[in-house]
Amino acid sequence: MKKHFLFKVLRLVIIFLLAGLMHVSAMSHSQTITLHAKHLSLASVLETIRQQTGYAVYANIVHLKDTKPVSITANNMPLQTFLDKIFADQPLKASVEDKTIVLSRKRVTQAGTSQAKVPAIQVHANNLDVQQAQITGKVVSAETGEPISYANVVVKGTTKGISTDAQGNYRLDGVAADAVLIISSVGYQSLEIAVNGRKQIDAKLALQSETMDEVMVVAYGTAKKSTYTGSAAVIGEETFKNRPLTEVTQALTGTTPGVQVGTSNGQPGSAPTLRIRGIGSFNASNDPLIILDGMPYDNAITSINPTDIESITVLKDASSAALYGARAANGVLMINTKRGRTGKPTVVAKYNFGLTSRQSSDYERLSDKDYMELYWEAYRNSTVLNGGTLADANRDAGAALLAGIGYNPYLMDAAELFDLNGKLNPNAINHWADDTDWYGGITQTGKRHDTNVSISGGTEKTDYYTSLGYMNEEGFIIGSKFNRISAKANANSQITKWLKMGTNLNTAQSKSDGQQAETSGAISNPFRATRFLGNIYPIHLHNPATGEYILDENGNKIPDFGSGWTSEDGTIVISGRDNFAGSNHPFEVHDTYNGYLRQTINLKGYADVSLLEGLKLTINGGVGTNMYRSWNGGMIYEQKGNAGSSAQNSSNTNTWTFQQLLNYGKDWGRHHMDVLAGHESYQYQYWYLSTSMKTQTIPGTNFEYANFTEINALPNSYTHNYRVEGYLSRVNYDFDEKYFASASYRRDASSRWHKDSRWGNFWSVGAGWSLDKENFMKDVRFVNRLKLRTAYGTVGNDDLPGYYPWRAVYAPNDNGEAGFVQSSLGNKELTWEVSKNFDAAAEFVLFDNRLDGSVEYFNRVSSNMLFSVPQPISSGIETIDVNAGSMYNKGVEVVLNGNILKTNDWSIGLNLNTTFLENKLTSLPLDPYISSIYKIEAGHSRYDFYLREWYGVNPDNGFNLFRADLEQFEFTPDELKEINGVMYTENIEKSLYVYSGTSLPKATGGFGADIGWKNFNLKFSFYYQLGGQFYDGGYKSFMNTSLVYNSRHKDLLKRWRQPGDITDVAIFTNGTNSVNIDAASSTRWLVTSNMLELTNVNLSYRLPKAFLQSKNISDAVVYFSADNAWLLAHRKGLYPRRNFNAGYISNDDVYAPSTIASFGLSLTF
Amino acid sequence: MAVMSCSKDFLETESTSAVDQSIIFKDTKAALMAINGIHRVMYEKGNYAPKMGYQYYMLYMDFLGEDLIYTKSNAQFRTEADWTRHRQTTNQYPRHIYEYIYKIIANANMVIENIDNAEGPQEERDYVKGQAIFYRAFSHFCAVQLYGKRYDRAGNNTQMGIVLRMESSTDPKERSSVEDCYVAINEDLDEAIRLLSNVSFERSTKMHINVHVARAIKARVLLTQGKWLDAAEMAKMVVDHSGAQMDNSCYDYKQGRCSDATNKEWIWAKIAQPELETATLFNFYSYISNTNISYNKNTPRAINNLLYEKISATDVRKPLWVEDVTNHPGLVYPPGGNRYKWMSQKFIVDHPDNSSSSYSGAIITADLAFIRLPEMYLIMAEGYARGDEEGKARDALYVVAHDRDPMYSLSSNTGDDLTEEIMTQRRVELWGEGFRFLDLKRLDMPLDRGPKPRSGYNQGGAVNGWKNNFNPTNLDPLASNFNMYEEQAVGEASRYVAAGAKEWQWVIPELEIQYNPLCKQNPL
Repeated sequence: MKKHFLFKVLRLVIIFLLAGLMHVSAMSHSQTITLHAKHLSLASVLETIRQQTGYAVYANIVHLKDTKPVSITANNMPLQTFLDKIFADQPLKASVEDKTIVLSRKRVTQAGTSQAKVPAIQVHANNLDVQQAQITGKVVSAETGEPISYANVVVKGTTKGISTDAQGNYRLDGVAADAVLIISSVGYQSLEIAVNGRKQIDAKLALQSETMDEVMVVAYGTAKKSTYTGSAAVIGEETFKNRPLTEVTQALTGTTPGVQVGTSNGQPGSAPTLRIRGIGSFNASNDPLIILDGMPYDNAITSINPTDIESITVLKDASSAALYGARAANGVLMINTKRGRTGKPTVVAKYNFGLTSRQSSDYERLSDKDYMELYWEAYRNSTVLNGGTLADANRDAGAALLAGIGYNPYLMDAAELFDLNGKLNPNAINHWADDTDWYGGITQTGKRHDTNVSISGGTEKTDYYTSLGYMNEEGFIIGSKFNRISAKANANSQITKWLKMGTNLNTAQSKSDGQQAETSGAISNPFRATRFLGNIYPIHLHNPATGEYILDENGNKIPDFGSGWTSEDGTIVISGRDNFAGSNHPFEVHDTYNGYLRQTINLKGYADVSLLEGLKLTINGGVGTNMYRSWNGGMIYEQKGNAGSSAQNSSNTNTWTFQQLLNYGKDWGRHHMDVLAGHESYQYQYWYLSTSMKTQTIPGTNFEYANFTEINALPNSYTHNYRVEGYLSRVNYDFDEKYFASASYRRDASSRWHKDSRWGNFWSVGAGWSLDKENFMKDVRFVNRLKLRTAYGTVGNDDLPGYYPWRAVYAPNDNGEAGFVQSSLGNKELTWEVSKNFDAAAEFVLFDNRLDGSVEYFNRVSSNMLFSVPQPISSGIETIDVNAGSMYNKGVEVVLNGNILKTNDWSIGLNLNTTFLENKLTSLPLDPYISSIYKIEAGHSRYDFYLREWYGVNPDNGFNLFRADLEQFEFTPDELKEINGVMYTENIEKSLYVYSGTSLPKATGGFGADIGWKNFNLKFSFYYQLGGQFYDGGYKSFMNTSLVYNSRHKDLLKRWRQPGDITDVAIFTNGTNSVNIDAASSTRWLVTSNMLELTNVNLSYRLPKAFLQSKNISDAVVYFSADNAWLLAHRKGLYPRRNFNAGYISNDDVYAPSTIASFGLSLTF
Repeated sequence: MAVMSCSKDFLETESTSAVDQSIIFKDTKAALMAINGIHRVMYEKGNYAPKMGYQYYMLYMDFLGEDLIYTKSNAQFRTEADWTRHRQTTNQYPRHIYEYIYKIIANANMVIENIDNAEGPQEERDYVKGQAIFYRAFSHFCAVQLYGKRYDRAGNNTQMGIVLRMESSTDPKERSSVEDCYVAINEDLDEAIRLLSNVSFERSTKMHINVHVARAIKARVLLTQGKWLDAAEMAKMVVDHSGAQMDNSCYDYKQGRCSDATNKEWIWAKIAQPELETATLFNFYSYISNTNISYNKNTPRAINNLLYEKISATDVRKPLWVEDVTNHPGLVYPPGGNRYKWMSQKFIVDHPDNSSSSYSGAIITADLAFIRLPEMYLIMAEGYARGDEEGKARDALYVVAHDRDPMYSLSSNTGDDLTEEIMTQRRVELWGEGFRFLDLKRLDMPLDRGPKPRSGYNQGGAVNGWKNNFNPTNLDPLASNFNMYEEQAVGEASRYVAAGAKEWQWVIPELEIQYNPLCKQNPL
């Protein structure tokens, strides 16, 4: 009974338009109409007709959607005349039959009367003949004119239908003259055409529009953008398909408001940090949840070949993300891979060749001569400051310097090389100047190849997509490379009317070699060594007497490891250097044995079961596995005296997801509702094994353990288990696609919490209103679309670093015998961190579709934050995890896209987006406290710098001056210096700490252009950030004094030299005084993080169709594309996007970001 | 609805790399593992080198003294040696000392509070608890010597000591007076000695704490308090009962005997675990031995030449430091390393003669002595001497001095000369083992690293640096090799520090003060 009713309701297409039938008025009816209307909706006019004539009015509800308001003056106008008038420029026509007015779609004339919101439909009507029973025709693409095969042509209201053949032709028998054909094909907008007695009906199908009525992949399904209440950004393939991307998140840089992408380092295969709408968590993770084809993805993002990706959906607010409740507090990144489309098999082949190089230049450093003079001065100054006389100091400085450096490229003794003022002899020549480019010695122009082939297609019932990709990238550091073989297979089939099944396989093998050590301070860090070795140290051995290269018996140059060298006959002795002794990275970088092999398989299978009309059960099962093996080893170098070592580590990540979803959709009248209920369980298991050996038997590149004799470290292994389980539900409702609302609820449990605190409830509500569908907007001509929406909801976060944070545990701390040490106090009350998100937005399309965009306000409040509260050191416990404190991220996102020009030859589009973001702590469990160079205090941001206030350099003695903290410390009079009434001190330990701005940029965003001329297309996009600060530790280390004989920054040329000098750069010296000179963590090193970056520029050319057709190619594009092409920041050497949150430590001795310039070709068959 | 994986324990997960606290205190066997864990904290690797527990503490005590010389100014530990780092409130390295000390105390407190309910024989319970209480005392003692002003034997020690943590708590707590600290330390040591006296079985390694270790530390504490005769008597207990014997094979440095716990003199020691201690730069020997590490290569540690000159030519310890580095037979230094006059050979962990293949940086760690028997004799000698029992003092001194130098005859010194002789023996014997700063502080002496450079003399650095010339000419005979680096001086500020200056007190790490507002800072 119930079932029957449902069918009835759902199948009801023609409805009573006007519910008013129920209360028929008593007034007498006539065949004439009297109406004075101005911009009255057609529906209201029809109601008037019904009231005045008593006729019933039937219409397809869909038809009324794009009708126009009516203006008419009628006094007792005959009904037929009246109808003719009001339907004259409507897409509908009316016929009167037996006191019933039936509305139907007009056939569209060739002129294509104004139907702004219905894409181009053209129907050729020939030879009108009411008796005709057979119809033939051809279906083609409106864009390209190419035939569409396997398009469905169905007679409306019947089961009669057929598919087009490969040439797009169809033939349909026995069609009534008044029938309506529905023509559809995947990827195109379907079309309804009234036969009207014709016997040939050709159709042009328009591609599915990607503006407002885009169908987006959203949480557990899809949604129409026009009625979506959440905040979700969709980045289509167009944005990134012709870019030399190794992983896709780079494509979000500057293109997606609210999303910040860190600069990934230059190591091929590395991935950036992502932040969506600021920093929501204090100690828990701030990484967004990644969903691959509907399943949580916990593997490397680099295992997904960007070419296989159709779109990315970024879910930013609670309404869009709440359904992922448990782990969605930091937003969700949905990666949707490609699937086949109905039609003949399509083969796409792509090849891209690129060159990698360093994106930006390093800090500017001193020339060798300036370097010599500066260090001479350092020696002189420290001798004087330590009590020596100036005369002695001047006399001895040169010799001391040469002794300290240990090398003398000028082949002159100290007395000849320096005068008594430390000026270098103008005739001095650096005899190995051409052999000191250490950084150049480890760099190269890397090559990058990216090849992809895909085959896709489908029939009415089954579609498939399969692809193979191979990518090989060399970094700009010698030896560093990354390659990936990826394959994808996706097949979906409607097996029966009620059952659809499919599988989706994404698999990849990635291999990285020449991973470079970035460990701060380590000699093994090639970046550090090659940046800091002064340019008086040669890369190869040189005869200290003549400056000539020393050659081995084969006539080759010999690398200088700096550990000293003596010729066999003892005549040539090279003493070696102190800094980076035992290392020669230009030589060693060729043999770096450090890499990994990663094999990932992500498999998804599903079954859609239609239980009843509108009711569907979906079962999704997903398995992800990541087999990872890494290795690193140390070569035996005679010069280093190493024994050789080898470490091999292995891990295996296994995840599975199981979802049961029940969807129910229902239409009644203009109401539409979708209901979803589901259950999801997820398991993450990570197994890890480490091993290492040392003392190589046979020196060489065999790093397998058979070639080693001693265990270096005991093997270790462990398994992490993490599980979540949740119940979810959602209701979406819309009325006439004009008013819409949604609500969701999810209940989740995490294995991270104790069983009594395990479950959390997350929910959201949202509403929207399409104003452009309102009558009162009909006159506002410049508005094509206008939608308002708002949402509020909560999402959770459990992503603390450990997997068992509630447990009080002891960790192994063996001492030859088994030992344990207290590791955590545990906290059984620990539970979900909750993020409460409010979002309100206006989306618009204006000026005849020339300008579209949105303005959006968001307020993301994190409460019950997962907080690792620092404890007094004397408690012996570093931190205790609790739920405490709150913080908000609020801001405004603005997106503007302008289609400035569109002519036959030209098209110019400009785009701009900006996110204004404010992050503020509102309450804390410990308030305030200092964390590194930040102060954590309510009322301030998470990353507000709290630094010693640096004033400048004391002109009297060249020392740095800092604001004196008069409240906290006592000063002797000689510790203070008064300048303009403010007290300053040279004693850095007594300096005043002040808030010094935040590292978080106030505004970030991007702008770009898309310019087409004939077959050429030029695209570029910029990223910018404004209003943040950056603590330039990299600069500091080139300006400080604690490491002698390292290369130094050019700015030291501005150093203080004698009393009275006004400068910002302190005296250059060494020894005890360096504490002052180095200025510790003070505002001395703070600079603006404003930057502008050309993230991509792309010039493409589409080969003419005429040329291609003869070669059976349907599309061919050649292009040039460069990523990270250009950067402007406060100072050379700085790239503030790398660590945009913390604004700190980004530039120290790391693999700098790279630029990739590439050429590519894309062919479609 | 079909629901899978909802079995009751689906969400119950447990760590595979840690164990629940309740398991640790279930019985005495498990609780002993909590003591083993503390042993490891004594030398545990931190996040950045040289954070490595008590090993760093030991090195630091010599960086701050005058007897151990850094031969280059740009070496690692320069800021330690020039007395700036321990005065920096936010520096992570001195903070590590504070951290590892209180980590031991917290772990000890957990054991002390939970052991009474653990199943097992009483003797094992005493063994566990005695060691825990010992560690609490030892750690408080290590801390109070740094952060508090010195203990004045004259009394009235109301000056700020340290935060005494006598129970598991994360609550803020103020610093106790130095007097109260020493009361607590002594009470704990007495209790540890009482409990450990009940233990009849032999400890498994010298890393474990037995009653002799507890008594030896008690002797140190008493010496630090200036309780001269008590200290001497306590040290004598160790000498008489510990079973340790003088063994000058410990100076057979070429066999690495200065880093070998099988030496009969050793009472308490870290036993090297090469397969656990695999990180370079996280080991005592990474900074003072011949291991093939840049800091040791560039900057061999040397003895203060003025102290070196006091060692008799027949003393077995004399060759531990090398005056003539060009002609010294069998000089051991890392491949490609620098050689400097008076460089040390004391801590040789990896000798070319041992095995040609292993002398290559493969050896990172070695045993490290925390307490050796000669220290006990020297405490006896010093205690008796300062306590006016000079005869006993000379006898005790003789044991050490004669063992090291067969030509040594019983001292005839008296008064200050005798204590001076004892202190010299102490400086030579315990060189590099982490005592000098603490000795200077407890005795209220200044740091004096030698006179200022004098005009007209060569300081050994500037003109004919020692790197290329091992025997500079025209050296100032009064000067020490401190401040005589090859190119630059470390600095005048730390050449001389007056006794009692505020710099003798380490500053409390800023993070302690932030999270424990009751804790007051020392004068900056």
